[in-house]
Amino acid sequence: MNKPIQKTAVRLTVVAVVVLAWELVPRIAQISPIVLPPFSSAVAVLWERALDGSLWQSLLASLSLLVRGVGLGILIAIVMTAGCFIIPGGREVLQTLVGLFNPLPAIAILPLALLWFGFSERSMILVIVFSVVWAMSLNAYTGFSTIRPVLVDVGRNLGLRGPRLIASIYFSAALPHLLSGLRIGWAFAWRTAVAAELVYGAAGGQGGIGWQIYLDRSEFNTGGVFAGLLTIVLVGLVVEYGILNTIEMRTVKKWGMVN
Amino acid sequence: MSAPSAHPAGAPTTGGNETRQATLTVRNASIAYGPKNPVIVNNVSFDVNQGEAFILIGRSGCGKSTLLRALAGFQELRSGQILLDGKNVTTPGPDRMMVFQNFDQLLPWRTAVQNVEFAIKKAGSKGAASVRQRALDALQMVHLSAAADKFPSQLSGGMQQRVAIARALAVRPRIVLMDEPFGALDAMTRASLQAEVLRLHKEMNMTLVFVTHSIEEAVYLGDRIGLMTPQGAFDGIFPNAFQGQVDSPEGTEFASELRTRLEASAV
Ligand SMILES: Nc1ncnc2c1ncn2[C@@H]1O[C@H](COP(=O)(O)OP(=O)(O)OP(=O)(O)O)[C@@H](O)[C@H]1O
Ligand SMILES: [Mg+2]
Repeated sequence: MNKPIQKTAVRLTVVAVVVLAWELVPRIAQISPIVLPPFSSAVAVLWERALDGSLWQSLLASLSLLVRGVGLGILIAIVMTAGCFIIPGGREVLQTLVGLFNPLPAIAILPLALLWFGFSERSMILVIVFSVVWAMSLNAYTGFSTIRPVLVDVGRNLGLRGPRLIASIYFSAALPHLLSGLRIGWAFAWRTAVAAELVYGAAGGQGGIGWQIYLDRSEFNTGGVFAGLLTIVLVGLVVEYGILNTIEMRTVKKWGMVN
Repeated sequence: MSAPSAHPAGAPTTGGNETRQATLTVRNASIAYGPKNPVIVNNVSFDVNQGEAFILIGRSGCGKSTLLRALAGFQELRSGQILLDGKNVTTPGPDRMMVFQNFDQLLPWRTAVQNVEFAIKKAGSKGAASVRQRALDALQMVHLSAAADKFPSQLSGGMQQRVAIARALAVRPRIVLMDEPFGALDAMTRASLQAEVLRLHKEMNMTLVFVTHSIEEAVYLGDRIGLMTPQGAFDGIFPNAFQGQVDSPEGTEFASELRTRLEASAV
C-alpha cells in the first residue's frame, strides 16, 4: 500500500469516527437537542436550507465579501511589498509595518471600521483586507528576499530592472511563498468574516453565514447553529483542498519548485 | 622547459590586426568589493576580438568571477574601463549574455523552450522568424529539441546547461560570458558540452569569454588564455595553437607548461 492512500484512509477514518460519535452520543446519553443535536439533525437543517435556497443566499453573501476583501488584500500586499523592494530603504519600512500590525487580530479593528463606515459592507471589507494584508505581505517579503540570486542576475542580464524585473522574475520565483501567504491569509479572512457577523450581526446588505448562526442562536435553534458550523468547515475544506491544492498542483508542484 | 611566450597584458595580441577594433576592450580594470576593501582584480587589461574564445584561468578565489561579472555589467570597477564595441559598459545588458555555473539558472516556472523565448522577448532581440521558431532553433543547436517542453526540474544538470547556452545564443549577443558552466558536471557530460561549445564557437563565430580553473578545458576551448595570479593580476596572455587538440602530445606539453606557470604564480 502506498503512502497517499494510507493517509487518505486515516483521514477518512477520523472523520467517520467524529461523525459517528456526534450521531450516537446525543442519542445514547439522551442529551437535549437544544444542547447537542445529533449529526443527522444538523444535516437535516442544512439540507432544508439548501432546498429552500437560504443556505445559498447566506453563503453567497459571505463569500462575496470574502472574495472582494481577500482579492483587495492580496493586491495591496503585493503592490506594497513590490514597491518596498524597488524603493531604497523600503524593506525596513515594510518590516516595521508588518511588525506593528501583524499581531493585531483583524476583528479588533472592526469597532474602528464601524465608527468610520457604519454598519456597511465597507466596514466588513476593511476588516477582511486587514486580516489578509499582513500575512500576505510577510510571505511575499520572505518570497522576494529568498529568491535565488542567479535568477535576479538572469533577469538583469536581459536588461530588466525595477517593476519589470519584479513582474517577470520576483513574482513567479516567490509564488510558493505567495501561495502559502494566500493559504494563511484566506483562512484568517474567512474566520474574521464569520466572526464579525457573529458579533455585530449583518453589516449592511444580506446576512452571511455568521449572521445566520447569530439568528439561530437567538432562536435556540441549535441544529441551525451546527448547520452553520458545518458550512464553515465545508467551505474551508473546499477552498483548502479543492482550490488552493489544485492551484499548487498546477503551478509550483508541477514546476518542481516545492515537493 | 620553454615557457610559453607571453604578450604583456594590454598590448595588442592579435599581431598585424592592430587597426581592427576589438569587440571587448578591458583597460587597466581594478575591482574591489566596497571602497575600503582591497582590490580583488588588479589592473587588468586585455582585448577580445570578434569570433575569439578568450579563456580566463586562475586559482580559486583569484577574481575570475568578479572580473567576468564586471564584463557583464553586474560589478562596478574601482578604476579602469570596459568597452564593448568602443562603448563603456556600465550596466548589464543582453549584448553580453552570461551562462552561469549553477544549474538553477533557468526559470523553473518555464519550460526549456519558454526559457529561451523569455530571453528573446525580454532582450527585445529582433529576428525574421517567430520568437517560438527562433527558440526552437536555438534548442536544436544544442541538440535539445526533444526536451523543449520539459520543465527545468525534469532536466539533468547537463541538459539545463545546454538550455542556458541556447538561451544565451538565441538573443544573438555580441559576446557570450561563461563562468565555469561545466564545473559541476560529470567528466563525460563535461567533455560533450565542451565539444558543443567549441563547435558553436567555430560554426557561429561566437565571441566568448570563458572562465575555468581547468587547464585542459582552457587549452581545448581557447584561442587565447589569460592567466590570473592569486592577487588578481594577469600573468600573461597566451595564444593557444592547440584548440580542440589538447590530447595531442604538443597540446599536452603546452598544458603542462601552463600548469607550471600557474603553480609558480601561486607562490
Ligand atoms: N560579494 C562579495 N563580497 C565580498 N567579497 C567577495 C564577494 N564575492 C567574491 N568576493 C571575494 O573576492 C575574491 C575573488 O572571488 P571570485 O569569486 O571572483 O573568485 P574566482 O576566481 O571566481 O574563484 P572560483 O574559482 O572559486 O570561482 C575572493 O576572495 C572572494 O572571497
Ligand atoms: Mg568563480
